[in-house]
Amino acid sequence: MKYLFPLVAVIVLARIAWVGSTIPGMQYVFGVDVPYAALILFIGGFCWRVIYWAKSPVPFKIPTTCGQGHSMPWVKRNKLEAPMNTTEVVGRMFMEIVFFRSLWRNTKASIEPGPVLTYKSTRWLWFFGILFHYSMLLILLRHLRLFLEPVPFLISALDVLDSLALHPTPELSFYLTDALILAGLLALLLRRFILRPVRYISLANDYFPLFLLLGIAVSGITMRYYLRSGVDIVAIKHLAVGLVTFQPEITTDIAPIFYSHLFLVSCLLAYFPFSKLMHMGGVFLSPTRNMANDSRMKRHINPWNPDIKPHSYAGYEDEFREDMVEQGIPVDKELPEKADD
Amino acid sequence: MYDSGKIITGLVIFVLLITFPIWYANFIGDADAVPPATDNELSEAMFQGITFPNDAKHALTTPEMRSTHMNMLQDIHAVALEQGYTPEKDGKKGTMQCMMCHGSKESFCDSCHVHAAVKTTDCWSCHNKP
Repeated sequence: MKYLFPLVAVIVLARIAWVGSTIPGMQYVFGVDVPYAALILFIGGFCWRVIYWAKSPVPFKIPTTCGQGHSMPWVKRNKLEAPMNTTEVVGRMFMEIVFFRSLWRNTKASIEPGPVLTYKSTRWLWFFGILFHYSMLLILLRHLRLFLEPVPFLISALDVLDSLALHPTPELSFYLTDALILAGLLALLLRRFILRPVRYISLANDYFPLFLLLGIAVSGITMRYYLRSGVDIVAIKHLAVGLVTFQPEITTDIAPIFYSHLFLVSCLLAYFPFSKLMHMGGVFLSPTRNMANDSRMKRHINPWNPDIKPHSYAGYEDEFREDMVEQGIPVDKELPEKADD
Repeated sequence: MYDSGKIITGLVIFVLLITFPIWYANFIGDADAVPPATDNELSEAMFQGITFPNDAKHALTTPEMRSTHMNMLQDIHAVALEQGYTPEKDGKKGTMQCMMCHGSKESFCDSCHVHAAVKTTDCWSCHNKP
């Protein structure tokens, strides 16, 4: 039942914009005010969250190493799994961020007849993760054609490459990424429904982003291919360019489904910095990935260590010599001779 | 704050990338280049009598026509295909009748299609450019 509340929430959000935008005057609210507020929340929240993280000290050197570290010259070391300098860390982070390498290495323990304990790699999570994230990236880049005037060649070329076929009927010029993002999202959602251990640990805030992204994808696909009526792309681009030049105006009535789509995107932007979606910024700040495995070469000092000065015995004796002599405790260095009276 | 040099640099790059459309629209591109909102020279009376081969109706407003003309043209195209027109046999057809009122391909089709980067199959391999 943990998925029911997020599902209802997304449907309600879409309905709010759908119904709200049909009220005269409210188109400006849903088309201009809400997106601006969402964008401010997104950028401000994102920076706040990253700076908040940056204020936390990392007390220990904790890179996860899963390969041979630097050792004797004849021992072959693994540069990506146990990086020892910044260059290798950058390589490891690059593989992590661009190719989701940790997920690629995902293994599942199982007991085979024998009984033998085996570890098999399960890469379907990696596959659908890649599918979703890269479709999302391409879709975001494609949307730039609504904000940029003139449209740069690369963006319009992407649009053509992404289309299965160029056809005047929208349904027949289907974008590949539209299908792939749905496949990716549905697989990631089904994973939470079907796998019992994952279902057990899934919370409402795991389902909500999935339903929200699905809502955005479905409303966008419906708008482009099926509910064409009232979706005037020139008016939409006019609004989008107006938003980025800070002179927004809505010239004609745009269909409610456009406002549903835009409102769900605004909700995603506003929700982003305060949710698990911050892994977008967080992946750069994971200490287990972004630290070099050089704890035997460089001393890592815990930033919250109190500043304790070393106190040697000689210093101790200097401080208390008079008292020690007075109490008859032997001292290494006698009291200085008193000056002659 | 730890590693502030790297983190602030990263954040600045992130914010600059996210706000790229703002920099582009204000400093690089030409945000004022927009196709005309309506074709003012045409009156409603002019298209009241228009008939299409598949009995479709001409939509009454520019935004509505912009939203749905692709499906309408495709329906008309289907009728032409049913009647057996091919560019090889019949030669290129003249303009689609739209151009009788709407002027040239450049001002009527391309102004929006280039503006919003909407590409379709090439109409002009079978039809003569007006």
